[in-house]
Amino acid sequence: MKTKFIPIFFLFFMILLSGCTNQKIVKQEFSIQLQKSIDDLFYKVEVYPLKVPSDDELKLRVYLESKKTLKDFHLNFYDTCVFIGKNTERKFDLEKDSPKIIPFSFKAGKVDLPTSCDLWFKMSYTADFEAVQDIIVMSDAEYEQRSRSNTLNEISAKFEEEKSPLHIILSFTEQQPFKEGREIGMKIEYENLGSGDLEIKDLTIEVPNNLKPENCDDFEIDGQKLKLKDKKVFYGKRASSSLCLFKTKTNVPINIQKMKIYGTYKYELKDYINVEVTPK
Amino acid sequence: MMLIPVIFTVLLSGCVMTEYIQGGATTPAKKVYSPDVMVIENTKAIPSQVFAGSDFTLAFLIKHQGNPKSSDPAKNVKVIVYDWGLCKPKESSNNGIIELKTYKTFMPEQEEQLTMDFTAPLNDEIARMEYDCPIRFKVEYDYEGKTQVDIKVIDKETKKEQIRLGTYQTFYPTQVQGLGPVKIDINFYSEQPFEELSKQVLSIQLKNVGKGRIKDSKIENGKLIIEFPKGFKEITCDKMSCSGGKCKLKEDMQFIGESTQKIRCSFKVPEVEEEKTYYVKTFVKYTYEIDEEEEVKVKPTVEE
Repeated sequence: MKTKFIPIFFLFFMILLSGCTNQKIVKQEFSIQLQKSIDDLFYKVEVYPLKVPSDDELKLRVYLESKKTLKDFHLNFYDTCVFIGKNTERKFDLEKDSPKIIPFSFKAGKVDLPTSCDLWFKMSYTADFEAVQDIIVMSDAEYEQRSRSNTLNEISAKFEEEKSPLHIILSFTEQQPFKEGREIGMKIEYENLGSGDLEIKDLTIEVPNNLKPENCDDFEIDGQKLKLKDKKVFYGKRASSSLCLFKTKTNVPINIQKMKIYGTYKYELKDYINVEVTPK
Repeated sequence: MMLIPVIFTVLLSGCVMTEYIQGGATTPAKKVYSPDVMVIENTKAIPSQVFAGSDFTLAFLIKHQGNPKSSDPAKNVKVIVYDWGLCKPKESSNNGIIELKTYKTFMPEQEEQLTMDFTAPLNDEIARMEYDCPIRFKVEYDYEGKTQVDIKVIDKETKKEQIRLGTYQTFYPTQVQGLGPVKIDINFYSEQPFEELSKQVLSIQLKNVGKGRIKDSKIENGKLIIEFPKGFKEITCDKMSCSGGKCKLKEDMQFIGESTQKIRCSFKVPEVEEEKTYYVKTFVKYTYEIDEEEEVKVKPTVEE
């Protein structure tokens, strides 16, 4: 008699168990909506879901990574179409090689027709910039002797700059190597190689001892240091160039030194992701 | 084998797909949903050979072409048979028309097979010659057309900055025209993005792009609504009364041919931080009629 009930118990037990495993586990699968590696930054935006019914929630996460430290990073969703979000503005420092994932959540407003929505965001930050220019000054005798033997070009001056959207072009009124006691003009051109908006906040030029600063229109002269008086504003991809005058000097036949140019720039990028909102 | 229904579904879904029409700076691009809401299909007489004095049935299918996710049900759907020539309907008519069927709501993707029984005219009535019974009927339904268009507003400083940096760009708006034969066309008079706090003008025109007609060729008073987003001020529209960002038609609007006159609305856009996208929504309620005709051939019988 008892054995007759075993299959019933077993079935009952199975039903109970199935209740436990039947609980809906909704896995939120984020989809990558945008992924770019530009200028100083790699960024990726993932959303869930891709189609959002009216009044439902859109979850979004922004992944940021940089090979250099980006200070005062400001991430702001400023045009969110029919979405309403709280805390849409975040500020932090993005340390070098330390990726960050910033989550956001938005509520879709009511739509009567399927609506293709662009959510616009802005990223701005400040970052350091550094460039080095070799300055070669020769004594009169050395210069004349090399000039006669046609060996002036044996020593070449290099220019190196850190990878960034800011590109500096230096040009001199005379070719290097310079002869001592000459007045040399240096033109500094500023170029924005990136796709965002650039502004130079500060810029310092450490002038080596083989040059004596005489006049520099955009810069304040403080001994061997030149400091940019005002921030440099760009028009299109270029900012107005600067002109400096130096006098060359040396107490050795060949004087090779480095002119260091460093500063900070503010960079601003705008981009968007597209999400569809459907009527409920 | 499993693939066949999938392919069929994909093909069918094409019926409600949207069409994209390129626009310009002041004429928004269009994403247009199908003009057909209610359609009549597979109209036929059963049997196919109808002889004088015999009974036959007219069969046809009515269906809602919309997608349940993006379209509304049709309301007050009426199937009215109004002409049958010398053929005689089995049902009694009221003033020469027969209201075959009515539905309060007809859901997207719903379909109904309808039939109506007739008796063919007698030999004497058709002078023993072949005769065509023109059976004419219509499907009448209420529907609401919707259009929304995006408006981008930019603040003065951002615009100046973008001009300085060479990144200022014209914004090309898109209007989404929902399912239905009456489409609402929206056009602007200046390029976007609109500068904050500026006064702007848009025009609205209704067009019949379906195969049927709008009942009485008019949109009734109160049945065209324009909703402006929050923050839009100083809104005025021709032939409409506006309050709280909503404008309602205050007189009947007649269709001349397949379109109405243009309604012009002026409005002042709000102050924004940087840039913001808004949506202007328009709704129109109308009664639409589609006609169908089946010529039923009646053959005389040979008497011995």
